[in-house]
Amino acid sequence: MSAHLPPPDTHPAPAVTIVMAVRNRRLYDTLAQILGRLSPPPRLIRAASPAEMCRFTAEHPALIVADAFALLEAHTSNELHTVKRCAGAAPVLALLPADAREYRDVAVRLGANGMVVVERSATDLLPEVERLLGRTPLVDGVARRISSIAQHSAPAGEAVYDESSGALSWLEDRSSRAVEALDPAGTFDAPPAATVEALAPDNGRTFLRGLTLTAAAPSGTAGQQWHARTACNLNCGGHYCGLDVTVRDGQIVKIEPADFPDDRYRRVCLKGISYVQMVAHPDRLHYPLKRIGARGEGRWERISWEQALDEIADRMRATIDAHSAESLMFFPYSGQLSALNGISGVYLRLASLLGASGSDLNQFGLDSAVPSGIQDTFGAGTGYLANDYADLPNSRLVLIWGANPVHSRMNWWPFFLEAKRGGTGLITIDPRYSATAAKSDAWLPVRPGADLHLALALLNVIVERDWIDREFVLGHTAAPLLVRDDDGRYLRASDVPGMRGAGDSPLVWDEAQERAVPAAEARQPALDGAYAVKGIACRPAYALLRAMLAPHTPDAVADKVGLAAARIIELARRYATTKPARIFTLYGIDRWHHGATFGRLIATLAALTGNVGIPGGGAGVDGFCDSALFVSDFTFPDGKAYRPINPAGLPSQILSGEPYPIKAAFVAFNNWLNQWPDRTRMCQDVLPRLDLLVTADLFMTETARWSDYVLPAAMLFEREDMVKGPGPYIQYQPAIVSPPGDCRSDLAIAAGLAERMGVGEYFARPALDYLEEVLASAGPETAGLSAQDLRERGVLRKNVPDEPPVAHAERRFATPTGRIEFYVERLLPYGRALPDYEPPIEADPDGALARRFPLVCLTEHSRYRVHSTFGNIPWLRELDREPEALLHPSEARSRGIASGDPVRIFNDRGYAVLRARLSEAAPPGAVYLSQGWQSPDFLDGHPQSLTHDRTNPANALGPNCSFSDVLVEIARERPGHGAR
Amino acid sequence: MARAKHYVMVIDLHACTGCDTCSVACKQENNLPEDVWWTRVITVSANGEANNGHAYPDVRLDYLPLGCQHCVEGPCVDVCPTAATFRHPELDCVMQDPSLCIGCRYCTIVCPYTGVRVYAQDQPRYVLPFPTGDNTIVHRAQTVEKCTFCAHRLAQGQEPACVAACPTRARTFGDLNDPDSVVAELLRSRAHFQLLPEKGTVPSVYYLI
Repeated sequence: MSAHLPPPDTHPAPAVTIVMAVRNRRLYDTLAQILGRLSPPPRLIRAASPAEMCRFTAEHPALIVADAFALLEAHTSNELHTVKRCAGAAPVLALLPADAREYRDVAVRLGANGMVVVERSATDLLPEVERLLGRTPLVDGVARRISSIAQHSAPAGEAVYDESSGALSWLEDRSSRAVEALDPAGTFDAPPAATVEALAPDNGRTFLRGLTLTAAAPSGTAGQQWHARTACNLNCGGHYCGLDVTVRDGQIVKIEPADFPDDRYRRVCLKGISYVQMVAHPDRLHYPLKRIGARGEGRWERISWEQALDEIADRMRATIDAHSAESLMFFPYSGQLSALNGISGVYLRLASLLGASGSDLNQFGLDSAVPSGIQDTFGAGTGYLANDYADLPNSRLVLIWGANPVHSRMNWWPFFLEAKRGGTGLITIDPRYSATAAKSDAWLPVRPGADLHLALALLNVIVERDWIDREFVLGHTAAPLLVRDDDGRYLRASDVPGMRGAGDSPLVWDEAQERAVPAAEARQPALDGAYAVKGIACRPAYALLRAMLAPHTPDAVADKVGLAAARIIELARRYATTKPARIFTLYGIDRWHHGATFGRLIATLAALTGNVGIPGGGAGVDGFCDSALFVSDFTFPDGKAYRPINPAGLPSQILSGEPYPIKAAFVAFNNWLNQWPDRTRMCQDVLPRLDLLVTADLFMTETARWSDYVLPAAMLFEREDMVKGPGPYIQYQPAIVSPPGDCRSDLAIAAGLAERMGVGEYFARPALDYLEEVLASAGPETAGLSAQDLRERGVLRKNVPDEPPVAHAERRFATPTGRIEFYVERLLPYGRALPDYEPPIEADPDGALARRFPLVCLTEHSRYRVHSTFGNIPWLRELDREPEALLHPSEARSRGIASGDPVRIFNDRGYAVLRARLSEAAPPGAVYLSQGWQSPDFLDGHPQSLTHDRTNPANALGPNCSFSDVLVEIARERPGHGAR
Repeated sequence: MARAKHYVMVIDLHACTGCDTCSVACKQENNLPEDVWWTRVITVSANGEANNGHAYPDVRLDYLPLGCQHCVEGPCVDVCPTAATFRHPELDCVMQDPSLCIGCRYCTIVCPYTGVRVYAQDQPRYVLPFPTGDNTIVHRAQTVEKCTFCAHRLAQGQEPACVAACPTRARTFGDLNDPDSVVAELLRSRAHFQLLPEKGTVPSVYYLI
């Protein structure tokens, strides 16, 4: 089942030449007829013998079809090897007399690239030919790449001289890049000679300032070697890859993927392996540090833990006394997700015990816009709910929209791959030709920020053409519910005199009874029309939706979206008629002011087509039916609870003191200054208002550098804990090696503070006891599981069924009406009861600001880092040396920017200077940055100074950061200006 | 009569996402020094000739992992003056012994697959003060290095590190002379190509398409 949409207007393919080494005339005629269906029809040359075939290779055939076994009868296999050698680089397709393994083995040995059984030619020949021909550009591209360079090894780290282009060029080996700039001067990127010198002094290794590179100890595996099993606990998408760790002479020397009962979960990524370089990284913090001089100066004195904890506790008490317990903010975030030493663990426990403020676990402050919209549509608690990743193969079609899972969910991608192999169509909708787009069946480029236009147009088509799942729409959505004309609320039985007995049931118009009744009693609910119920004028919500959608036709939005109307209609048709279909998103569009509306629109698409609560269906972020965090009584001991603060609102609260002042912050698992917006305001206005800023971390991050105290934390290999995942499993994390220097686990750090704050007994038990407590109170999926058992076995299965969980399987929706709501009363005060178009807050192409700052500044996730974690790992920095600004050649040309030039990205709030990289994969009108780099990595400035912290007051899950709803301009940085 | 093994690597380009996990697994296993890589992933624009009019949004992108092709008839083995490059008699892969290598680079010159070898001109440098992985090789200045199909792991009955680490299972390894092997079945059933077959080196790496 193909997911192919009408392809973009491509250049007409030239006719190819195919040499047919086929002796039998009738067979040749049959095959020629089949091949004539290629478009355009190929030029065929018939060769009746290997010798004849060799003569025709001068015609440079694109393909050779060889009836190898018929030829074998008359010739020796040596002569057939001649066929292969004459074929040169052209692929050979062997015809097999029968589908027998022996024939296939011989064909492989003869060098055939593909095979077709003769009697199945009618069905199999064309697909195999198209497959082989379709790969020719790739094969040619690689062959040209590896043989065009003069025969010269690649000296480690050095440039390789390219005779053909006459310029120095780098050996291309970094898959962090998308399509290379199609530079007319050469076959791959050749930084102009002038910039090579600028690159040379540091060679992109500014992060290794001060690191001494030494020869390793002599290789050898003498000494004790043992294995331990643990799990990664980063916020890379809840992968929680199991890690098999080799320890030798007290050092972690190797990391491999650990086993699972279900082998599909056995995986690791290049980052997980690179932990080996993180554990023993020379830059790891080993001792508590106290600031000397001003914040951010970077001068420190080493102090003891005693002194650090004493002083911090004293200053915390002073803050509490001067203001309130809540004025102290504990700010752990998603840097680590383990049960105890993670976001929902020890620091929030301490916050609860002290009555302090803490990170809101229900309102994350980012990644919460799209889920707000999902939640408004499907009901309370559903914002992050979606069919499990393992359910993907059940979909017949998946729209990957505003997401790049090949990069940011790289170890969930195998489930997408499994789906694709089973015939699921993958369509990626993204302004940029991403790695995910490259692995999908089709890619639809949309203009940045134009996703709402597309979603509205899809709904318009589906509604106008009545491609809805009527039964589902009538039975489970608010479509038939009557909405009052006067105040816009749903009409309820309690509104209508004479219907009081029905409580506050929402009413529908029953065409059979010709009156309004509670939805459950209707035989024929109306979806359109206008009615008066005891004098109250009202209409079905579906009629309102339809009216709202009316202007959003494919023709009306085509230019705004950047897609032809016909493609939009075809996408709507494909989505509505291929069932089950899934809309998969992540946080690309969440980073826009209108992210919640996008969430509502995709949820509405799924609801109208009946793709809710079924295997293979759904619309939502990620693929989890259960939170990937342990939230339990451990976080709320003795029923005490900290005062939650949405981090997106934290800077404003610090500035304004409303609703109450925040004067001290303890930051952990969180690179606040690097990852949250409006860095200039943070440094100049917000942080100076804090009397105390403490950071616990592994390295001197951006945030640590601005702190008063920096505490050296232990890594996941150095303390006992557990993680909730992946899939149906939970995993144990043993303490495998000792923490280096004076590093302490976060549990120990919290315990040290707690002791001094009078609540030490809550941290005094062994970690395993707390793991037991977490398992017992984290919900039914882990109830009854024993931490002791987990410690012994390393992996346990949660109490979940075998089948991958399906979201909304029970089709119970905790909305005010009990139905899926595309009409949301809560949003009436904002004028947004219906999910109509909502413009970007800043990056509106029609807005005035776009005239000064014409480029949308988009940030993507790199596969070489998880946010800022792994940014200083040498192995990974060799692959991804420095930040780059990805730019379409048209935007670069008009600004005189060449690939490799240093460029300044700027707006009224700030700037960043880094190198540009041109790519045809990037859309015009945007610049792409990769988030997570820190100040020392840039030539100057920082991209977080470009962003703002304007939030959408309508979001159900509170304020959210709109990192991508940002406009910038870009200019070539003058040589010697701003560069290090 | 026991048949000799013919180890091959089969790489599924549909599954490969260019994540470089294989490259890093190799780096770890063989304790590779700074800037030395024995396998890497090439990013390829499949648009053919440079700037032949293909522009956004008519673009394509592929990934191809590239390392030593362990050719059955590789010229590198023939030209090496010190037999530092040799075909392992039992394990069937093309080895590179840095203790014998004099850095003449003849192997690199005759090998048609530019980029699969690394010449370590300077002293190897490391960030960690201890070796990683299980390959006991000692890296030396002025030697040529390349992938060895993890001969040290093959000897223990283990797969090469890159194969074990690949998260999408794009890489498969096995004995093509064994008709029951996974690699034999893959090549029987899926279209595939090899790099530069016209050079006649008979490489041992296949790419599934």
